[in-house]
Order: sequence, then structure tokens, then C-alpha cells
Amino acid sequence: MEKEPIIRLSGITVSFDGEQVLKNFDLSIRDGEFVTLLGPSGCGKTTTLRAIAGFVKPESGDIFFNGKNINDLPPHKREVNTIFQRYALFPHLNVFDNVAFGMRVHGKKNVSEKVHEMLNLVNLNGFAHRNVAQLSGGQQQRVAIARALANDPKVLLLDEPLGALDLKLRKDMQVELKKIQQQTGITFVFVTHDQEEALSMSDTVVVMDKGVIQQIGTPEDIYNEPKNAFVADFIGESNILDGVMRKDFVCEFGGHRFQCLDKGFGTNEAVDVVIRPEDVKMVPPDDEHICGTVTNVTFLGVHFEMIVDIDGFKWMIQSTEYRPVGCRIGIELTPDDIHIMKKSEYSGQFGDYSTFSDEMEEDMMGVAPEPEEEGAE
Amino acid sequence: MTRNKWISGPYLVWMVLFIVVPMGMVVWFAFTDNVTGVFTLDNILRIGNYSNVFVRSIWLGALATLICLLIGYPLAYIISRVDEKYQNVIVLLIMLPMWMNFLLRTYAWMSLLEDNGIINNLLAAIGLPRIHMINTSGAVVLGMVYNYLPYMVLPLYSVLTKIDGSVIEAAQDLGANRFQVFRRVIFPMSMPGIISGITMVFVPSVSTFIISKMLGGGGNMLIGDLIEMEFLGNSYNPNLGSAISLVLMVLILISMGIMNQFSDGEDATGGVLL
Repeated sequence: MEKEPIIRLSGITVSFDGEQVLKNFDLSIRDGEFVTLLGPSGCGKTTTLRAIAGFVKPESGDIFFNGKNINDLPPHKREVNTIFQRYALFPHLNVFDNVAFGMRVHGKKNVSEKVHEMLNLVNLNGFAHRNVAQLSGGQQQRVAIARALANDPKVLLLDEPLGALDLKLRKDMQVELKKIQQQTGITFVFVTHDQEEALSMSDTVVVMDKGVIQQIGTPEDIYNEPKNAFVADFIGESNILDGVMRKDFVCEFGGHRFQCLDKGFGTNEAVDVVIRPEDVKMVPPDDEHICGTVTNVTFLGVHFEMIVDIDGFKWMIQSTEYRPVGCRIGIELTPDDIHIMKKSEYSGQFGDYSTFSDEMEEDMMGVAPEPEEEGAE
Repeated sequence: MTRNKWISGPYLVWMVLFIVVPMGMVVWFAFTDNVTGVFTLDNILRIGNYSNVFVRSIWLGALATLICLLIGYPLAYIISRVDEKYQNVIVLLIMLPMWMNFLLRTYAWMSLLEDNGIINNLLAAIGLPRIHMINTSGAVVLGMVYNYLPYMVLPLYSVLTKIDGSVIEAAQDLGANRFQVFRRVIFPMSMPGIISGITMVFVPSVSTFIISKMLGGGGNMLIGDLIEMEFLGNSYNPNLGSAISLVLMVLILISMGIMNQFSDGEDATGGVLL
């Protein structure tokens, strides 16, 4: 027996100024899940969140909460709470009164007790009587979390809550948010454009672009089995090549045949082949392997990032081994390193690193870069 | 830093010459006898005779301020919520009467309100009884409201437009209905504007003399009229006039002090536009 999802969006369409931001959007969120809506800006992820909160009214489609249609329910009657991008704390109230706001509006008892419990949860003991303007970004963020949780929401909506924090604080808050989610068991719907954040925190990742869901899955699925070139490119670095499936478990690209783990494609069907930069093993160049020339090397601490020109297509390779610029190398791939995707509208748009490396080359050679060409890919 | 100090030099000179020195003179006059010039509390004590004028001034000024607030707040709120491209036009329309001479505006009201004025002629023409309006305290309050309403609307408008929409959404999100959003968020956040609007209407209303003279007739004398009389009128007595001015100033300072209790000290500057 499948339990009714706590939130179900069915056929949601939203337009702003005649432009469709969400197109016939379907999504089910299970109770207690940590779901992340991930995508570039303008993909409709925040709009989805605002539709759930009640701030955006869809033109068509239905929103269900615990099986009940809430299309016409105003925001203040919905059992969800939002953590806003810029926190939106009440500047005229101190920390205590900010956290107590929801309870007072609802006329609840034992406000003080609950406020201190919430402040304890977000490690802000002793801050109750501070002015919110005097708090740091991370502290304001915690107040916003405490304020939302004090209402005992069934679902917490988080709109890029960590966007304004610096890197280290982000990491801390990621851990803290995950901890709070596990402690409280509240369903989290988290919006971000940061793929690393999405992968590290979520139970389920929803990758979106242009108002459409591109892929839903666990972080591992999304990373290892991207459905199309957009997902592959957006989640981490990817080399995306044109290939042909010769038969099940055999594909051909770069002039060589490879064993792979994918099947179910038509014979000789054109496909996109994804190779993650960290999966490539460098070997001495010979006829057995795809070969190319290193055109650029960047030291990134954990590894070197090399751009390798292979018959005009620039690959990115990440390796702890160093190869100098101009060095000719061979590339070894095991079946596990090769991921095959069906061709999509995104094919050919992503996956080549030439624009990036050309600029680098010109800069290093002291040549003024030529005027940028639009759509050079 | 020292260079910045010098920039304020011209204003400091101005302030000393035209604010500090005259103020000192007012105090000097207030505490000296108008014939002998020796120190006396006589002027201050004589103000007790005019307590009815003080009460009337404060009462009418407070009434005008309250009416301005009741009209001005909804107006400012509506302006702050309309499409931004129309906001400037509406604000301009509210400022428009202020481009006309103050005296002219008040004269216009005279000819409207007179017993044989435009309004009464209109009433008579459609067969309604004439109403006595000029030379009443109602006419004085009307004149105050008309002349000072923009000073209420503008600071309120500037505070209300600054309220971040996401704060209002946050309140709704936490369960506040429209009334609660207003009472718990919008109203308290607009407090600095309310304070500065009240100050900017109340102070000139209490000390006006033109409006009461032109629209109030002889029976509605205000503090301003009293002061004018002592300096320019038959009962010429600048020492008493100074004493009255001083007491008025103290009263205004006290009422502003009380007002500021209602707002957080650091926000108090938030509202003043102009």
C-alpha cells in the first residue's frame, strides 16, 4: 500500500507576463522526505515552492496536501512554513518575538517555553533578547529556522536559505539543517542551484530546467545515471560525446569501440556518452586508446584539472597525476566509466570544454582575446 | 576628519547667528521686564491668564493631527501598494497644492466657507439651508488639515514603501491573516513615519496664526495669534510675547519627547522626507 504523499502537484502551470515558468508540472513529496529542487536560476524551482506556500496561484492544475485540494487556501491557512531567501525577519521585533510570532498569531499557550526550545534547537540560547539587526547572517538564518519550526509545520519550505552565507558557514548549516530534519522528522522541500548542496543533503533530488522536471532520483542516481545532457552537465563536470550504440553493451565513440553497461537502445542508435572527468585513467599514448594533447593544467589542491584536446574536442580530466601542457596521453576507460544517454533537446549544448580553455590559452600567450562569439558551442 | 569639520563651518555660523542668538534673545526677553529690563518671572506668571488659548491651540492642533493621520495613513498605504510607475504621479498630486502660496490657499477657503460664499450659494441654489461655517473652530481645523495633510502623507508613504514585501509574506506564511499582518507587522513597522508625520503636522498647527485669523475669526484665537498680538498688535509687549513663545516651545518639546517614547530611538529618523 503506497501512502498518500504529503504534497502532490498535479499538472501545475504558472506564467508570468505570458511566459510559462512551470509547464504542466507533476511532483509528489512523501512525508518525512528531504526533497531538493535543483536547477539554474529561472528554472521554476522557487515558483514551485511559492505555489506550495500559496503565494503563487497556478493557472491550471491542482495542489494536494495530505490528499486535500488546497488550491484556494490562502497562505496563512496552509500547514507549511517557509524560510525565505533573505530570511525576512521582522526588523521591529527581537529574536524572541520573531520566533514567537507564529504562536502568538495562532493564540497558542506556553509561548516562552517553546521559543526557548526552538532557540536551543538552532543553538541560539541566550540570544532571545537581541535585536535581529545585530545578528550575523548565520544567526539570522537560524532565527528564521526557529521561527518557522516553532509553528510545528508539516512541511518546511526552504528557498535557497544558504545562498547568502560564506562557504564554511554553508557547510556547517548544511549539516545542521540535515540534523534538524532528521530530529524533527519534518518534510523539507529545499530549493538550491548548488548541485553539491543538493547531493549532500537530499533524499531525493528533482533536477529542473525551463519549468520542466528533467530527472527525479536519489543523489547517487542523478550523478551516476543522468538522464540527459542537461542533467549530466548541471550535476558535476562531464565530458559529453556523440556516440553510437552498436548493440547492447557495446558503444562506439572517438573512433574506438567500448564495452559498456547499458542496453535497450536500437542497433546503431545515436546516443550521448557521458564520461566523468575523475573516471578517466591516463595511459601512454598508443593505437589501442583514444589519444590527445594536454592544452591546459590547473592545480586544484586535491587533483589536477587538465584540458585535453582529442581531435578538436576538449575533454576535462581530473587526476592526481601531473601531465605537462603539450604532453600526449592515452585515455583508458572501463565499462563502469561509460554512461550512455538517449539523445535529447540538450544534446550538443554541453560537454565540450573548448571555449573555456581557448580563453585561458590566449591569456597565457599574452594575445588579446578576440571578441566573444555567442553560441560558439 | 578635520577637513570634514570645516565643511560644516558656514552652517555653524548661520546657526549661531540666526538660531542660537535669537533663541537666547527670546529667553532674555521672557525673563525681563518690558520697561525696566530687570529680571522678572512676571511674564511667565501672566501666561496663566491665557490658559484657555493654550488649551484651545493644543486641542485644535491635536484634532487636526488626528484627522490628518486618519486620512493620511490609508492614503499613504494605498499609494505604497499601487504600481510603482503611478506612485510618483500620485505623490506629485499630493504635493501640488503646496506649490501654491499658503495665504492664497487659505483665502480660497475663506471664499468657499463664507456665509455668502461659494458653498452656501450652491446650497441655496439647490434649495438647501445655508450653513454657518466661517469663523468656527471647525473651519480652523479644516484649514489646518488642508494645509498640513501632505506633511503627514509623505513621511508615512516613505516608510510604507520601504517595508519589504517578503516580511509581509513571512507574516502570512506564519499564519497571520490580513488584519494580523497589519496590526503586528505593517503598523509597528510604520511607527517612525507616524511619529514624524504627527510631529510635522502638530507643531505648525499648534503655532499657526494665519489659519485661525482668516478662518476662525475673533473667537478662535490661538497661541500664534496671541504672540503676533504681543509683537505687532495694540498690546505691544515683546517680553510677554517671548515668554509665550518660550512656553510653547517647551510644550512642543515635551510632546515630542512623549512621542519618541513610542518609537525606537534609532528608527526615529526613518520617516522624515522633504
